[in-house]
Amino acid sequence: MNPTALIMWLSAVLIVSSATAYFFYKVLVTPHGKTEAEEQPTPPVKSFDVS
Amino acid sequence: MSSQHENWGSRVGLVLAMAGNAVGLGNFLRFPVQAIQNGGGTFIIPYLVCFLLMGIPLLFVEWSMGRFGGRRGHHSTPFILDSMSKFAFWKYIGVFGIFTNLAVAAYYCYLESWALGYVWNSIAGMFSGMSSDQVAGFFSDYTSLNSAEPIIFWVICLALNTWILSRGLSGGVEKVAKVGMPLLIAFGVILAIRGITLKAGHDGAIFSGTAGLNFLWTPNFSTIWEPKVWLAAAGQIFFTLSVGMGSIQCYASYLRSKDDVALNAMSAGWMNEFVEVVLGGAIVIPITVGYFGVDGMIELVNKAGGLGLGFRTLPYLFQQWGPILAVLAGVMWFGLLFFAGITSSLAMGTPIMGFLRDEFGWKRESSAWLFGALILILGLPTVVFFNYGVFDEYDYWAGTVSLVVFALFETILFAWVFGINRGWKEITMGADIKVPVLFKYVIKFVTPVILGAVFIGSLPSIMDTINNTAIHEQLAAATDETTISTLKKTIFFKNISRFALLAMWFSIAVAVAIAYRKRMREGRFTNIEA
Repeated sequence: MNPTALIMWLSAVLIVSSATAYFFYKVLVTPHGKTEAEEQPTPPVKSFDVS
Repeated sequence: MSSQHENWGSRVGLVLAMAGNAVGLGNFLRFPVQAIQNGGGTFIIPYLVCFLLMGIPLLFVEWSMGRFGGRRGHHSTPFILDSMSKFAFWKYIGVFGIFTNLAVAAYYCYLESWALGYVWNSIAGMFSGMSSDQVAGFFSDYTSLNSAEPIIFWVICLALNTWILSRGLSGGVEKVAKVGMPLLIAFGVILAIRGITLKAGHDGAIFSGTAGLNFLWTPNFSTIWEPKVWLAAAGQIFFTLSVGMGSIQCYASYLRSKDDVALNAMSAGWMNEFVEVVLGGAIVIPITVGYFGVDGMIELVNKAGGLGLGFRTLPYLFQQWGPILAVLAGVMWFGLLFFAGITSSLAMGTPIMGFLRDEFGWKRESSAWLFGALILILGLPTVVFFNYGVFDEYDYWAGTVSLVVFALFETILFAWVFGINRGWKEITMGADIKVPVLFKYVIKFVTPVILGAVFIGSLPSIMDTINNTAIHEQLAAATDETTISTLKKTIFFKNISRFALLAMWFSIAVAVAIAYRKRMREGRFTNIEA
């Protein structure tokens, strides 16, 4: 491979792989915060009640 | 009415399902071809810029719109969009979010079934001893329905999709994503290593795999300011992330109200980029160049595109690796294409299911089976009249034009009607990462401009397609009676498919209008003041 192509390829692979690994790692280690109350949908609002 | 209390089982499952939704056959077959045709290594620059300025903002917008709608009990785009504005017409823009998924699934499941069929044929050793032309001929016979096999695999695929969807999000979709995505990545990594390490003089290869990489990644900086390159990069970002479809909103509508969207969206988006740039760029082109050289590969791409390389060329090249490796490579290649396909088609089934369950109280199982039946009916013309361009017509209008139109409208709704301040609050609420405030301005000003440019840039092609310009040119040049007759039939079937798609859009709009009246009668919420 010529040096320019190699640099382009390696840069793209490094940037994309690092970002993928970083964000997926964050997903794995960040706790999934939730409460029972939050699982209930927001009570509906009647459009015609909204002024 | 059906009150859907369905949720994702785990965060990893959600991210894998979202990434699976985005990762499709295009990651492996479309991206490398686009890169080659638009400046090689230079293409990655506009591509990544468009990912940052259009892809990520759209992911944030769609994820947060979905969670916002889900909090109000909406699981499909007509009423998610409606809930964000006081203007009634937005629900009809939301029709695109059901229409696109149905129309794309109609032809996509057929494509997916090819991959499944080819896995079977690879295991059965069907390509063993075949010449390059014979393998290409096998594909032509396959799509010409010279045997019942394509239909059988198509029906199997439809049944499989329907059954998985009927099992629900955590019991079906999430389980498939948790198995399918790691397998897809594992198969991709193995094939990419094989592609890159292919050596000239070994296994019949004339050139090394790195010759393909060299060609793909050598930058041609003179192309970087060409509008068509930026248009192609923006288009690729669209297709690859599955934005503008309505499936992301639908998946996100099953999030809990304070669940993060920012980190999840970033993770799913970057995972798709990994599959596309790192794996997708290291399989088809390096392997094909290894055997046919750069000129041979370009000729093959011009003749049959990325799909042709994947289905007409690679099965032949795998045979050069010996009987065992040929079977393994075939299973891995078509297996990864199948997983890429099914994780996307499952996402396409959820919007119509969400709509039927929310608005008409359908059960999950019944709505899944209706989806299967609709895809069977809508997809049949793409299977039977594949050679007359029906498949391409569905792909163009539903899989290309509709995405841009819907994304443009939803961005305007989010940033300008719903309001960027309220929108930003939605994006950052419960966020597990700090979202740079720059994105607030990008979403408001830059993303709509890029989308507008993509749409305006596509207008000439839209006009040409409507007028069937390319076919008329072929017709004018044709002298052979058979060719003339085939081209005339192609125009006829293309026009019919457009009317069918239009009828589909209006049918969904009518269903949305009925649902809206029903809501009004029942005194149920529709929208909030903007």
